[in-house]
Amino acid sequence: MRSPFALGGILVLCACSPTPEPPAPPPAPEHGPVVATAIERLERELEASAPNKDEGNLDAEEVAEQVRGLIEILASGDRSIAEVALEEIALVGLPALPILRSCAESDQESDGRRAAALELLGALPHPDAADVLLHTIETDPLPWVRTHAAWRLGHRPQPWIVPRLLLRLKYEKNYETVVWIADTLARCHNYSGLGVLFTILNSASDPADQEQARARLQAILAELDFEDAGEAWQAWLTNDPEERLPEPLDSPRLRLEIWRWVQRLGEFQLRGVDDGRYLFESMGPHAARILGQALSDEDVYVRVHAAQSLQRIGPRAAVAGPDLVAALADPDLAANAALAIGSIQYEAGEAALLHGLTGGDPDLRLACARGLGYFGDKASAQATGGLRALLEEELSDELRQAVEESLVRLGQGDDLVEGLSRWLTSNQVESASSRRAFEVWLRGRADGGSEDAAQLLEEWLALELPPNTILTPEERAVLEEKRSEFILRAARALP
Amino acid sequence: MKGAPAIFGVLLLGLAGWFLVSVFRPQGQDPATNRTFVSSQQCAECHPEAFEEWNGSQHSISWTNPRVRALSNDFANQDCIDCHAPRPVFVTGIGERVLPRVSRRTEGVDCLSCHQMPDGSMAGTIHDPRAACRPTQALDLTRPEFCAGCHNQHKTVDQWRASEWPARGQDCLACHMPYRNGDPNQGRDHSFVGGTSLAFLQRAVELRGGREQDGWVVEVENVGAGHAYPTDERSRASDLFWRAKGSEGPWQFFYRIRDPYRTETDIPRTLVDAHETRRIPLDTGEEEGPIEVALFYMRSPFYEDPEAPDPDREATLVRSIVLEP
Repeated sequence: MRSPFALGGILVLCACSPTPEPPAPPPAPEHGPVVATAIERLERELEASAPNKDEGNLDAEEVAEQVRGLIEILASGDRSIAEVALEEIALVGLPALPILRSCAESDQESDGRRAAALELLGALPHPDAADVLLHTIETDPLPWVRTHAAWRLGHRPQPWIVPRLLLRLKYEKNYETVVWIADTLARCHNYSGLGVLFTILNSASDPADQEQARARLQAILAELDFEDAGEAWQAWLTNDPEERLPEPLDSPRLRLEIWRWVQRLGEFQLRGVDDGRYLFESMGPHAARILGQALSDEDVYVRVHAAQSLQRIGPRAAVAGPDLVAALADPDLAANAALAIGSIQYEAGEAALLHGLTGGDPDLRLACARGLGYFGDKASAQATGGLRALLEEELSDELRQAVEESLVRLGQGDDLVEGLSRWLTSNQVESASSRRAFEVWLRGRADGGSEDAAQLLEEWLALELPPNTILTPEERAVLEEKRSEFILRAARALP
Repeated sequence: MKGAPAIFGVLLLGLAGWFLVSVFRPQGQDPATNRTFVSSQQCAECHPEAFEEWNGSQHSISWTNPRVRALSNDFANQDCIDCHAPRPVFVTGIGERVLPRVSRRTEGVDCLSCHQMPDGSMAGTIHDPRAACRPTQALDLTRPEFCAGCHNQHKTVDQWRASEWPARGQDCLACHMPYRNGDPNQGRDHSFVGGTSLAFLQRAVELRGGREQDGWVVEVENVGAGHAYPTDERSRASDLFWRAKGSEGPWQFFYRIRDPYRTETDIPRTLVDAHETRRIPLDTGEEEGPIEVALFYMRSPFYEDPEAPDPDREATLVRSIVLEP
């Protein structure tokens, strides 16, 4: 604009024309100290209901002597009087805890006395006793001590122990300990350990470990309405649509534990965040309810990672659907919320994703395109129509790839499968997502009864590399080229 | 109304000034049109040198690097995503943890990750509202806290803080983003050179050894790394091997320097901290003649065959010495 006349023109126009009203932005969700408030409320609630730790006028020395006597009884191996000892420790109650803890944790004590102390701790119906057992599982260097603690913890299962046990399931390396952690989790009606038992059963090199896993699987099944362990595992993974599994145990203390893990999503170190995501995934709906509420927290890290966790839980997190749809109006969270809505297959959220497809935010458009592809057989004709229509527009490579992949995932993109091959050799987009979309499509064909597809699926899976295989960029390029050619061949072979 | 002519005069003068500037401004000094930056590719148009340096750096392949993809199981391990495809640091906050991007992940840690401000303009070393990217001078870019959002996830910045380097005025940029050709007028090198450079590794550590009363003792001294050697848990390791002098046979492993990953609860932390000298006894068994000792660096801790590692092929030789009895 070089001329003052142009300025004059603009000034005149500004003065004479009504200013066009921009479209009103969607209302931003209100954020607040959701997590801190929930933790404070539950802590108050638990404090009010906590039993009085002062158990009368018991003399400390007397108690110590009595507890040491009970330890001796159990350590003697005479099971005929063990029941009496276990009943008696419950009567002594919390004052017994310091002696039991000291004995259980001391490497100066004999194995027999340590085992007896762990057994007595398992018989004390108090969170503090369970806390000592958990601490033993988490820190003791001796595998047999950890195993014993896990076993005894299952004798009086308390719901709140689930998150800490799940974390041990992730980090524990001793198979026998893992087996008993899985067993105790099952007693809390959390069946995440079944998958680990399968792994040990199928891959442990020591037959004794395999036998332990087999025996525990059978014991867990005996408590359930299932004859086949695989079916029980599938029921757990798919949110138990036939309601054959017992409801997971719940308690205010467990909810407090979950909220505290949600709070950790705001930590600087990602280690706690990743542990949290793992725990939430393993807890499913139980955690999803709380994560849904956390989407309104004032801490953006909590909100984003809560949405990620819901995405990771998948359809079992459907209870958080409405919260996720509301989160689409949060600019920091919208894209993560869109991915999660798709992943949990929240049908009432599909329209919101379709709307997001046509908006101006490139991150949200991409997330909505990907999210719609996660709906699987729950996707509506409008969803596939919306994605198809988008293909007619000029799109970035990344968005076009996402739309194509989603249509292929939804079984509505047979004509696009061949084209996926080009994304594997492009440097501009993520090739792994195209590989995964192709695999969903191929698996769908194989599951539909196509023997050719089943054969191709087998060949495709054979191209997978063993974990931690590190390729050079050149080797990786060659492999992606090979996979790209495979996709072309498969698409042409399976009309 | 006495002031009205004065106001009119000022307005007239302003308009005249604007007119003169508009008409007589040289063509080459047009203010660039402010642009919306959505990809680092756009930066290459005006900053080809920095872009090319970055394009050859580890930051540019933080998402696509086959090594990263293998160790993160194709980013199924979600906690890697945050730092390997981060939203702009200036948006999440200096010293705060970064948050993951949803789009453009293949661009990795890109120009926008470090330079884009919340309003879409860019942080830089000059202030120029007439440039397309509207840069503002932001000294925060040079602070170690700026790098900490990602690089302190593995405690690297804390290791630096605990060392003597801050007191000596040596920060992250001094080593990893020096001035081009040592000249501040040429700006900083955007190659982010580090553990991928052999020269860098050799500046970081020295290797010595000798025969003592109870046998061989090998010393590794961290002389030049501004943090532990190596830094970065899980991904890096540095291994010591030995073999008889003149032997063409396989190397024999005897010590690993590494910070274990979180699941590796049975492995001790053996990083050599800044300025530390680690003394490591070496038992060569029946071999009594001169030996060769070698320090190798690994950008992932796994050998193809852990029972028969081949460091010559699978790792980078940093230093080697011959020890005479």
